Amino acid sequence: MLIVDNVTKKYGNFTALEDVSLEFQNGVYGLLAPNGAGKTTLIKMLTTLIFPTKGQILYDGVEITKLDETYREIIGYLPQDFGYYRNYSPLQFLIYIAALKGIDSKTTKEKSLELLELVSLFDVKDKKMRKFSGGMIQRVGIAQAMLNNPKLLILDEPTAGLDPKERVRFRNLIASLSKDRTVILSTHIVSDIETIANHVIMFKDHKLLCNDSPFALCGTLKGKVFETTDESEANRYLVLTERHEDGKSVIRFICEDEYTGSATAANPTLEDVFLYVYRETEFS
Amino acid sequence: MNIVKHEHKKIITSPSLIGFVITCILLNILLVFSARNSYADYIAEVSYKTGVRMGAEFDRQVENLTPSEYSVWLQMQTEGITDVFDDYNAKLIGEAYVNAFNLYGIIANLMVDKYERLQTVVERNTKTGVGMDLYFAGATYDRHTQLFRVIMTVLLFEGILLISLTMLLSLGHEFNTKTEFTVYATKTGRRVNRAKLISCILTGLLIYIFLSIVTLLFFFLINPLGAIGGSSVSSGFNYVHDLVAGVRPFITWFDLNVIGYVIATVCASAGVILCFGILSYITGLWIRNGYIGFLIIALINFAIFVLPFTILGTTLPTYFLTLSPIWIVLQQGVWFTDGGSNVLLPHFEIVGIIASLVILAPIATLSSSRFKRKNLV
Repeated sequence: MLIVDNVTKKYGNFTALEDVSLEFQNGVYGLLAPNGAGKTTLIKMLTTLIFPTKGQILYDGVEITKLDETYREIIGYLPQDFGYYRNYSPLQFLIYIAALKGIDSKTTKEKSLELLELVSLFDVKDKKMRKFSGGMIQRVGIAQAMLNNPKLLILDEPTAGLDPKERVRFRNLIASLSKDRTVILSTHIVSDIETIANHVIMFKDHKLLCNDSPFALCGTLKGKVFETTDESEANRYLVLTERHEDGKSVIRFICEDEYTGSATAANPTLEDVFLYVYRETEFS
Repeated sequence: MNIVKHEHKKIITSPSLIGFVITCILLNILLVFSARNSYADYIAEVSYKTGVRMGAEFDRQVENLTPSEYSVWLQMQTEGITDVFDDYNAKLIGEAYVNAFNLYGIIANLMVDKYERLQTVVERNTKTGVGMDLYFAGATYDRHTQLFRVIMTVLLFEGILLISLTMLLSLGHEFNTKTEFTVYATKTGRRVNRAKLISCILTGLLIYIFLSIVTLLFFFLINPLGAIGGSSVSSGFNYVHDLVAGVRPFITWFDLNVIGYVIATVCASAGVILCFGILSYITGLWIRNGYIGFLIIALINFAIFVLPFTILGTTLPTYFLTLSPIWIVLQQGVWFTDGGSNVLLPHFEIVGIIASLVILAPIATLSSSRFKRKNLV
């Protein structure tokens, strides 16, 4: 079990993350917050790329910096803005990363090919990656993260830069990989996690805001979300989204007090929670 | 070892490295051709007949040579020649330096001591008669300069550039390709830099040796050595220009013939290249951008070079600095000799290389430890 124990990270006077405590067991954890909220800071601490200013991170009761390579041996990590060697083929790249992960060289090729098959890159395994699309590169990223069959799979903004089709494909891939391991997935896109995450962790003002199941989070807005085609009615409340249906504009809004108007009650979604929580945040 | 192999492969398949090595070979070939000296070639050719030790037998053999302009030159230059080391007093060189630079205290003592020790070498040379070795007779200075002060110096600079750039680019590679987070989060993690250090040093030294072999083979093919390879570099025909002590013999601490001096120079060059490799490793751990790192190394070495001239003067720190890798490089022409007025200790190149490695190794270890704790933002 991975425990984040009262962790604070500061860069000079700037506090990137303040007094965060979390526990991770098997399952998919979605770190959901706008850019700059501290998701990547937490992930970099979980991968020993940066170190807490205060607090500690424990794996099975031992601080991860003390475990050093024993800890890194069980993690798979796909960083935000995943870099690669342009002149390498995916197979060459996986073989290199496998060496860094201390995987036995006898099984490296077999394992690499198996993963390339899984991420649908087997046919281009020997092609130079310089000509690959963003989606293909992300799939190489997932494959390298999975090389050591990690107990802890950490994915930082894995769908950034992907088109909607690639995003769905990616989501399905993550769902299939999430059995018997902890998957920590950071994103600012609600749809990336709403169907696959068991837990959603949200940060606000560099502090932990909530850590709960999507169902429980949606439950916090139960009876407060409504839909209407009447713009003047909706504008009296906090407007969440607007969509077109049958030639009409359907506006979704939140009423925090008891609602007595004509709008129809709607089931709250994770997106509603996100928009409500970060209503004052400028989205980039 | 597996990772070292991967890092090595990454380096040697780099187009810029391949391009650099090809450019070096082409430049060296050009330099080899510029070293042409037909009189030296003639001496190399006849050296099998004449032998390389001057004296009565040598004179007889020269007389028997087919008469030509060069045979006359050779006869004129060698007939009746006396051993340069007979009655030679090396101690006077030390005294001349002490007086010229107003040296005092420990500096003066060390300087005088160095030339007292050189005097024992002079006495040994008198006994062995190496001063009577032919080398390239009247073409010695020209051929010696071409080989040891041009070709070997260029090879040394190429080796230094090669290992510095290879090390800096290798350490900065993950930053440049944005793979550092992926790489440093693996089991090997930041220890990958150790593999990079080993592979870059191996690659740098092996390529330096390769360049040296190719260049020297080409040099001796175009400028034949004949039997002169066995001639001592402390021949009476070889000399050093010295502003204070005047023109004086080229005296090596060990008795080295031309081939021996080539091998010793290659070995010492490898030592200097190793120092620059470790210096680049330290810089690369602090500065992620390889090109900026290279600029900083250049600036550090420039500072070490100019400091004695500008601030320190003839003080003890100056003489410590002359044991630094850059000073050793710049004095390559006098390696394995007394080194002149810039150095206080015998075997300055060996002392300098060992001292540099002893200083650089713990700094490299500390830099590695610091890098292990560094926040990679």
